[in-house]
Amino acid sequence: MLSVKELSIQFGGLKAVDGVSFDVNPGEIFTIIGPNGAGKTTVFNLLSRIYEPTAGEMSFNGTSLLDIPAHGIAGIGIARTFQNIELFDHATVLQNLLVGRTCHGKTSFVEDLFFLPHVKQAERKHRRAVEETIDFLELAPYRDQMVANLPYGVRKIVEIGRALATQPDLLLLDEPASGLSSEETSDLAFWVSDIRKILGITVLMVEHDMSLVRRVSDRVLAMSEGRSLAMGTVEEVTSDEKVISAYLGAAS
Amino acid sequence: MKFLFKQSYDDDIKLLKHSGYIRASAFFFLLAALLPIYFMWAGVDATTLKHVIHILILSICASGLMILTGFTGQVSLGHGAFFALGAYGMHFLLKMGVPWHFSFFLTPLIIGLFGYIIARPTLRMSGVTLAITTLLFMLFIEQAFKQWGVMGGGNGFKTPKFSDKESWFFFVFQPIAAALTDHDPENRRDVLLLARSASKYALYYGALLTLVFVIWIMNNLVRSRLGRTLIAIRDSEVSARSMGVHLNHYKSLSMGLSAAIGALAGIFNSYNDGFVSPESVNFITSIVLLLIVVVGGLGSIHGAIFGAITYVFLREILFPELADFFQAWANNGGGQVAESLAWFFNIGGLGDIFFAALVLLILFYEPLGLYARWKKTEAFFQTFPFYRAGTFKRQRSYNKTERLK
Amino acid sequence: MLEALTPFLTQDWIAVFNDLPQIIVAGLATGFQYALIAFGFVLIYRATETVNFAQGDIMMLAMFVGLGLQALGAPWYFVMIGAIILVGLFGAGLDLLVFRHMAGQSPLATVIITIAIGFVLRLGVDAVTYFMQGKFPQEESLSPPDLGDQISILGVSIDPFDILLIAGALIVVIGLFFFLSRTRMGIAIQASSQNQLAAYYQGINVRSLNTLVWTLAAAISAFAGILFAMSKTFTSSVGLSLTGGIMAYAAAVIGGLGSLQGAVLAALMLGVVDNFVKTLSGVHPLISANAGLIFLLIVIIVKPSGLFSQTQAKKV
Repeated sequence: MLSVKELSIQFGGLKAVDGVSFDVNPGEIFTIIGPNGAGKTTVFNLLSRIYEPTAGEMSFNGTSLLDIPAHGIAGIGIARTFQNIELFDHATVLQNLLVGRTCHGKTSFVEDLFFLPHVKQAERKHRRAVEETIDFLELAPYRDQMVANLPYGVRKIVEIGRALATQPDLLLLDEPASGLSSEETSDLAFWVSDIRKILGITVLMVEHDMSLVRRVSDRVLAMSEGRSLAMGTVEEVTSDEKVISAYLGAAS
Repeated sequence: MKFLFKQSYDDDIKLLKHSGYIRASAFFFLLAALLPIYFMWAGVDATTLKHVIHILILSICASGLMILTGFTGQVSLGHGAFFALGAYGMHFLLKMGVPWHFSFFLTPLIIGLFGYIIARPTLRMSGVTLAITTLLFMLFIEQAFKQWGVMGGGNGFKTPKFSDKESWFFFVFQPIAAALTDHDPENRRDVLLLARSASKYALYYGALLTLVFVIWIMNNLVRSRLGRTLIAIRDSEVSARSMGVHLNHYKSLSMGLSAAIGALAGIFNSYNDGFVSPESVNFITSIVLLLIVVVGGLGSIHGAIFGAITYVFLREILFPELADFFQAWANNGGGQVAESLAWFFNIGGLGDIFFAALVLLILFYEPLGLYARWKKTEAFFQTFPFYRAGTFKRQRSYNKTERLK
Repeated sequence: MLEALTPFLTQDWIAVFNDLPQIIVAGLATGFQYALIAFGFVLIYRATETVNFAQGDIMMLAMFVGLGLQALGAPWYFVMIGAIILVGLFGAGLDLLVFRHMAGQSPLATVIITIAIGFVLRLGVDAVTYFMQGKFPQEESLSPPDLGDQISILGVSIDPFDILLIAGALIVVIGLFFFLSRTRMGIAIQASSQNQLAAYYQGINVRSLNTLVWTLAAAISAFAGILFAMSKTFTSSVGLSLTGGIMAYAAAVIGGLGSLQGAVLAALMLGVVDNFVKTLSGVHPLISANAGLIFLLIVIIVKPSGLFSQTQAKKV
């Protein structure tokens, strides 16, 4: 589904990502692990076209991502969450999720402005779609609350919800468990596997919490200093010597 | 306290959510609609009506700015330019011979399109850079108008009067006005005055309907995809992009829309003032508009109206009254103190400074603006006696650089 | 539209080329005046994230203080130093009385306060002049030092005052660069500009530093103001005029807000381009009167982040 070949980006003299290659198959949960500064989030930013790579290729279902601008990736089926929550603080949870439906909206500027009946129908459709996501993530009690007033753990879930509202084929999760308690992390593990099992969405995840990684991942890529160290199943990668010395530590 | 039992998605989507809304809206609209009739009956002079129309005009213009700054988060210090462009554009078209009603609808469309085109390259900037660039644009346009000989150059021109056919309400009003004044024999000569000021009433209703229209549009924005997109741009450009929002296009749409609305306001203003000149829009006008939007409550729908009322009241009503008062006192032998106070309050632009000071005071106690204060008062009465002062408390914030946005 | 281009064809380019050094020097002189104001503007912005729209009006205040000192019979150097010191103290006062209490408030409120301060300054100056002279300030100017006639350098005749101006401005600008990047205090100012809370934790006395910054910026504006007053005429609204304050803010922004080099560079370019276009003949008055404005607009549209932008994309 997603194919990344020799992807590189350089900021001045710093090679943030250096020749990284991997493939993500449909229906799998693929995790990228590595120490901070390894370039994991940069890979995500490259995939969501916020940065422009200096070398390499990325293609999604056969289309080269280099042809698509940043605001186009939602339309081809890629959604992402952000490490530091980038929710719309002054809107309710519902409105945040509804923004996720933007790429599916078929109403034009003028239609919206005058709220033609077409728009009302579209609104009802969007609302129904978003309610399914709210159901799935159990966000119903928070539906009408301002995001700014919500606790951190809930905001993380809303962030995922907003990404799900775009009805993607591929979901990019950037450190979904950071800042969550172990209870919340277990819930998250269930959700991530449900996202794959029930919604049929492929997941590409960056994560530090190894217990979560072990529970849900099919394959893992370990990165360090912009380069890939090892790729394979969880056991293969966690027992790889290079990975242990660079990241996991001998006791792991 | 009213509990809404929602039974369908429509209950969330529709405009007038419950009977309270309907009653309140009807009440205010009726009040506004009957105001001129009250004025006529009570014999209030034309200047006050002019001020009230001024409030409507400013509300329209500030609402346009509200869409750009409050909803989309783009700070514009040059909104006054669209105000002027509306006036100049309209009368230019009229001079070219375009029929009145065509000009009236065409001008905002053209100015809106112009706003969109200008915005495409400009709105790639943000923050202070954007603010100053919009200011520069406005200054440039002001200079351009000064050079435009056809439209009177530096001196501007006087607005042509409405003809009978154009003031639609003239026909409605004339009989009503005549009927009202017929009952009062002392005011017969006022029928003549009325004929002259009929265009003012036409203007009032035109502006009122336009304001209602603009508010309706703003409401439509908020409950539709377009409005959500704009708010998304305001709160987090990066994630808006990832959700599929073409930033530049939507920001420019917002600018175009606010330009069109500003132009509408400018057209009405040209008739209200009776003349158009390049000096009528300057840096100060734009700042005042921004202040109106901020004091009203950034991001609210009705905030612009609150702000406009405050401004016009302070500057056009309170200050001249004070100036007159002190002048009268000085004339009656008030001495040095009265003289200096009279001089002080007569200084042009002083009202603006005091408005700025008032805005700051209001913001200090209510950072979210007058509209928020209104809502809180509403909440107080609705949840009485369970209102807690801490419901809306905010956290203190430290200065963090904007340059890493 | 095409008529706008004909001046380029009918221009007496040889004459223009001959005059070029003069044009450039005169342009640089104006440019440096803008540069000084822009410098103060950017300094305050960098240190306190405050957009100070009163910068031009502080300059105007200095000009009138200079007028007052001159009326008292002071010689030109005393006028200059006196104005700088007095207005510098005024800047300190502004910070102590007003901006210290604005910490944590929304930047918009602070901007509005600076605009209001500008208003008040203008009002005050008008009022004082009215009471003392019975009329509002007309075109005023300060008498420049008598440095003799135009000297000839490399076959170009330049007014010695312009040389003094450029030299003085250069010294100030370079001195300030050095101060900000090499001294401890300068680095502390930069630190507090990027993250006030962190600077507090590091033991930096942010509040005193801010006062220092305001004093410096006011003093720099005062210096620029005296130079301006000695070479051109001015009224009380020079702080907000197209040929005064606003151009300086524009230059600061076009140079890339937050970049001191950019602000200075943009201001210089502005002065030269403006002067250059003015000396061309046959140009449409709209363009020649607003050459600087148009130049700035073009630059900012082509490069929205400014010439030397300090903004980086937020790391997500």
